[in-house]
Amino acid sequence: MLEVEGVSSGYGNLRVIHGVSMHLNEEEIACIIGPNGSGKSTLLRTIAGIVKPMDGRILFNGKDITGLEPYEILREGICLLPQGRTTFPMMTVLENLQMGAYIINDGKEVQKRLREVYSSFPVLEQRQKNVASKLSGGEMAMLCIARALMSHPKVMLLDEPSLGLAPKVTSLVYRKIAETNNNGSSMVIVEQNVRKVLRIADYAYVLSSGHIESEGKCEELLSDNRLRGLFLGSLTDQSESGPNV
Amino acid sequence: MALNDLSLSVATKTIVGLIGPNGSGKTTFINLVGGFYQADHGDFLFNGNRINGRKPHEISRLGIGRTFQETRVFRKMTVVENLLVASPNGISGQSMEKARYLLGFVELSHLKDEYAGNLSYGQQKLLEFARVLMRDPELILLDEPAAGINPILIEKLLKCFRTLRDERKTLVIVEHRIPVINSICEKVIVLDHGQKIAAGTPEEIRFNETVQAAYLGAD
Repeated sequence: MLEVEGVSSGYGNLRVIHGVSMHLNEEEIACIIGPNGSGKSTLLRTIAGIVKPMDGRILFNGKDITGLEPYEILREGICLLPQGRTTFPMMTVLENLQMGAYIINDGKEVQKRLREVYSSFPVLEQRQKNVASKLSGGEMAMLCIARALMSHPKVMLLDEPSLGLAPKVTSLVYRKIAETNNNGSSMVIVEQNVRKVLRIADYAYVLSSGHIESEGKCEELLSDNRLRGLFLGSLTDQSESGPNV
Repeated sequence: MALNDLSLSVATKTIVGLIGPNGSGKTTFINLVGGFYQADHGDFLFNGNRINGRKPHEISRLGIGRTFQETRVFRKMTVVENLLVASPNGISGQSMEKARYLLGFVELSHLKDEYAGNLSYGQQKLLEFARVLMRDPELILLDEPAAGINPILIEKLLKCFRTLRDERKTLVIVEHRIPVINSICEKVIVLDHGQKIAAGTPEEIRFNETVQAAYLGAD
């Protein structure tokens, strides 16, 4: 479905990722894990067209989308959820959701999609007239996911969806991510909450210094002691959530 | 009102965890202690002296350092310049030596001449932490220091927190990564809706049903 072939990219003269290749199958969740500054966010931003590749190419359902503008890539069906809670803070929840459907010109279709996301995220319907800046952290995270769903993306690129969220809310957001995947969206998730993401992902890439250091099915990576030591650490062997303070 | 009639104390040479749901007032607390906000009423005492009404730079000179949840690096300065600008000794050989040491510690040495704005979120968190240490503060307030940080580096950071405590520093850590709080805090304070709902050792907090319902969840 999504093929990244030998892509290098970065900022100005700074090359962050070097010849990265990865693939994503339909209805699959792939995760990208690795040290800080290894290029995980840059890889997502490159797929979304925000950062232009210096080398390599990106194919989506067989079509070469390398170098397309972000809005063109969104129209193809790839939607980026950037790091942090990037809502439009002074717009209402409803307006934020409508912004997510700006590529749809059919008002009835927008209403239909609003009903869909309200059905998945009832709290957003309750808060639809509130400005986004007044939402709690968890509500903002859900608004970001719901806004992305308004464009009916075929692929969602999620950059650290658990960042800054309380344990209870993190679990809720991850349940929503799993539900969204079950409804047919494929996903690439970048996450430092490694234990959490490996529970729901099918396939994992370990990115280090801009190179894919390792890849494989999540259960294979988890059973490889050397790799566990490289990316998991001993602390995360404890539960990331639950009554375990 | 983000905080309501809150009273808490932090003993010298301890590591205290401040936890609670999103929007419970944890960052507001750090902003108040750091002089970024002013309290409507109540007092803040540091080593017995009232510090209310002081500006952030005055608080910093008193020996209280802080980091930010949303990182605030000088984006158009290089990584090493971000550290030197925080040094109480200005740009000197001593400051440069300390900056080099701290950059090595947070594994950013290879980026010392890069613009801070080009760093990833996690790297900016680490840079902020190193910048706070440039001033050698007595009390360090860390707002989600492990957010966006790789698990391996988190363990290294925790070692550093313990070392700082052994060097007679005091740390207040706002954090959602429960294993982090679990492994280093002597005391945990839990906020919800601007009020303290529990305080105790990690073990005591673990079995507190109010905390489980408000913050931890069941799974």
